[in-house]
Amino acid sequence: MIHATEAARTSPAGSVPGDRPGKARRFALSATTRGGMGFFLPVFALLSLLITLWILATPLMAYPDEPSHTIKAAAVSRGQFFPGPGESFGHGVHVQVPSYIANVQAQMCFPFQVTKPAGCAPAIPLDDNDLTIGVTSAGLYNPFYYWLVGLPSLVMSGAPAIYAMRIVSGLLSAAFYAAGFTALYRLRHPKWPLVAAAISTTPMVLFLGSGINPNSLEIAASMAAFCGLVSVLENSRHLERARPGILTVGIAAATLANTRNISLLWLLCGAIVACLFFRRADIVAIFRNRVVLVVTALATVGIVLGVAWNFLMLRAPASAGEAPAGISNVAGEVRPYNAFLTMMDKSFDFVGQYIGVAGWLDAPVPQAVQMFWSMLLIGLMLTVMLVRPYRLQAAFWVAVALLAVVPAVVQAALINTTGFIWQGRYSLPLFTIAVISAGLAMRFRPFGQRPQSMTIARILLVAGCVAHAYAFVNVLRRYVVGIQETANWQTMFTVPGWQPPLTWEVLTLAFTAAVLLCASKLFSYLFPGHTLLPKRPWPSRTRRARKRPAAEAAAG
Amino acid sequence: MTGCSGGTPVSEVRGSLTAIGTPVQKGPIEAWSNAWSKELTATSLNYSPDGSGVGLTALATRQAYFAALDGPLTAEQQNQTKDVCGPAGAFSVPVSVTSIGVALNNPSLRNVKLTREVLAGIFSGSITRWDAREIADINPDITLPSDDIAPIVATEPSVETEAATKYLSADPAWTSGVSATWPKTDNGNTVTVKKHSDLADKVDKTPGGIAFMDLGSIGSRFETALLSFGGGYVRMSKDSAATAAQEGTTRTLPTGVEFTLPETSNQGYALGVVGYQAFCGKYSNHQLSTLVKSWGTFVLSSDGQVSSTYFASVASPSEEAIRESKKLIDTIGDAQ
Repeated sequence: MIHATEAARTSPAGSVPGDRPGKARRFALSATTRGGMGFFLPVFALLSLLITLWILATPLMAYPDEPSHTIKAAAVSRGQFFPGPGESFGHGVHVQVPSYIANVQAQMCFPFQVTKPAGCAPAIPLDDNDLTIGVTSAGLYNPFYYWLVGLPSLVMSGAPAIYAMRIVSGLLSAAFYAAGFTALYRLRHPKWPLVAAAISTTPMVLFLGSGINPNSLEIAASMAAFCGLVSVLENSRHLERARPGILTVGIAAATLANTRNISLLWLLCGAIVACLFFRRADIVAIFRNRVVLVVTALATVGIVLGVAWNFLMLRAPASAGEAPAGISNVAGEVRPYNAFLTMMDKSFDFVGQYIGVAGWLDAPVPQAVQMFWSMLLIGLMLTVMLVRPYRLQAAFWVAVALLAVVPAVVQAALINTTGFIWQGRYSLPLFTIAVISAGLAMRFRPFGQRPQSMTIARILLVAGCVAHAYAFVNVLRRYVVGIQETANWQTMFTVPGWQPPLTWEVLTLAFTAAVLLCASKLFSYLFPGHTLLPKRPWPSRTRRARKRPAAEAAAG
Repeated sequence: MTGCSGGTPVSEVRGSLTAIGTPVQKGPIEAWSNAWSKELTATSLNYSPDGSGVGLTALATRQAYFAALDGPLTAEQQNQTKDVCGPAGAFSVPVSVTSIGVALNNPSLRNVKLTREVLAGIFSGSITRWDAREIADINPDITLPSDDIAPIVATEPSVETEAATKYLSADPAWTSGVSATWPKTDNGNTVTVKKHSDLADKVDKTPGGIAFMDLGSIGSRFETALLSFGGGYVRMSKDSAATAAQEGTTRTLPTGVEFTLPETSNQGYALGVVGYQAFCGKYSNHQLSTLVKSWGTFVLSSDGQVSSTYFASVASPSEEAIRESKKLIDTIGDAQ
């Protein structure tokens, strides 16, 4: 069954080649693009809003490794791309940054102490702009992300500058996530993939968009590249319909190559999974298209630049010392195979971090949220098992296997140089690909439009909103009053130990409203003509309205 | 003026200090940093224990605001810092005394006394068993085990090794002189580790093991030998180390304050390393000079010295050395 919205999109006017003259055809293509932008822009706006609210709710430097990445961003935006001789030490690379940036470490009075509110952090002065030595353990990382994110520090100062840097970072992530959602939206059967993509947008994914760290961009660009490639492969015979997808893949691939040196691995995994959903003929067909070839060539330039950076950094001036504990965790003699098995053993332990462990792993989302998302993930997995023919499941199971095996292989390779360093957030690009793959495996299954299906969807979406809002306010609680042995929600009102910009109350209300808006948009898309929250008048008012004429008549 | 992050009010003393230097001061600097930042919340310290020489080079090339050194600044070293620190260059002050003990891994050995001569024999390979006559002669009340002795040494050069070989070289039995690296011996029982910081784990895993280690690494983990410094045999402890430190000598020179542990002591434990910190006389701006001065003042204050003694098991230099050093720290200013 093809629904109205799908039918309208799969047979757009003028989309069949050759049935319209030149001008009209060009117009038709631009209409397709406009349709995509019509989806992309609202999704980008909504995701930007959600991420910005997380940015405001997360105290400065309450994000993993944020001090190092903030210092690196301020340095790169000031032209310090490469560490010079004598600037590399055991604890990191020395750069020259404004004093308020160099001193962001002073904000770190509350991480790892869950009972301590964030109010202990000193104010960040607006006028401490003398250049001073800053230390960053991200000194050898590719400067692309940092240059963009550091730009606000050239024109602003103090805490507003750091918030602005965070917002630039968040907008980058939001753009790639929105591009990924848009690519899925353009599939012939987009509903299940979009539902899966919504499930993959866990509280952790939104939280990770809130800090200065390329981790979130890496996840978002991996998701965009994967979804873009799927949309391109699906349209391998009509690639003129897939130009936004082609562009998305190109930009995301080049961005990934210039984010972190391991990011290309996620791109490779995404490409493998995407290709498994289609036939070899589809894959071959896309490389006969001129636009694909041009974008591939441009993306290759970006990839080559990213790879070249990695080789360049191998020749960076030697460090004067060894990395201290915390940066390097080499302890004892662990053989690579043992590290691999340990990682495989812990595969399910990381799921909690895919769902939500904010802060420096010291602000977990409530257990109820973990349970809800675990239910969604297991439900998705079980539903994939019902898909026939089995061939359609193959790509999903490969994606799950990659999620388990690839981080284990990488950790095993690093065990003798860095020790055990793996965290769940590092695997989120693969997690996102695996969850969306579930939706792609199910894409040919009919999307129920019966009232029962709508009721279930309504319950799940409202529950999802509650879970997102509960996770958000609980993380705020950790920073406003700390997580104590006994419940302390009331002290958030009476004696808050920290207040974010706009206050936690306003942020919570705004986040709840924003997440409800997202859910209602998704519901209206999944069930055209219906709304998430029924637009019926209140029963009491209705009863009163019914009674009034009778009463008036009696009085008359 | 504050940003929109709220937080506690802005203090005059604020900013980030970056320092490079000796690994020996890693523990004390951590203790000082924690206590200093607790008092002055808008401050932070980045310290990289990459070596005393690296620290001095970093200070002279604007890559550090102070350097933690294994010894006092020399005139030549001071000259190297004049481009960065102003015409007077940098100066150094003593900040801590790290005691070096002889750690043992043999449950049968309690209150065992060892002389310089015996230790020289053990570390040069001529004494290889715990029940050797030379050890039995000075420990008549102890039943010594008939086990092999396993001297454990680090192959990397270190100031701790230099202090140990200096202690041994006062006896003619030690012929290898003073050196930052242990001489190679024919003793098949000798165990080596790469880094000084690996010694504690190796001693723990080696029955019959013996090694020169700092008090912080020894803690309550190992039994230590009683040594003699010209008087009776002394057990290494925070108190005996403090006693020796108070008997040290202080000299004020153009390069800073020099502090030397006594050669002999009746009740003090005088085997140790004096840690120094080198500062510029002038810094580029007022905020930075205020910050560095605050650090130096805190390190030499009674609160600072109590912190390092309690948390890092180092002794304070003598009162005179501290007093002279404080005078120099007070002279730190800015070029503006």
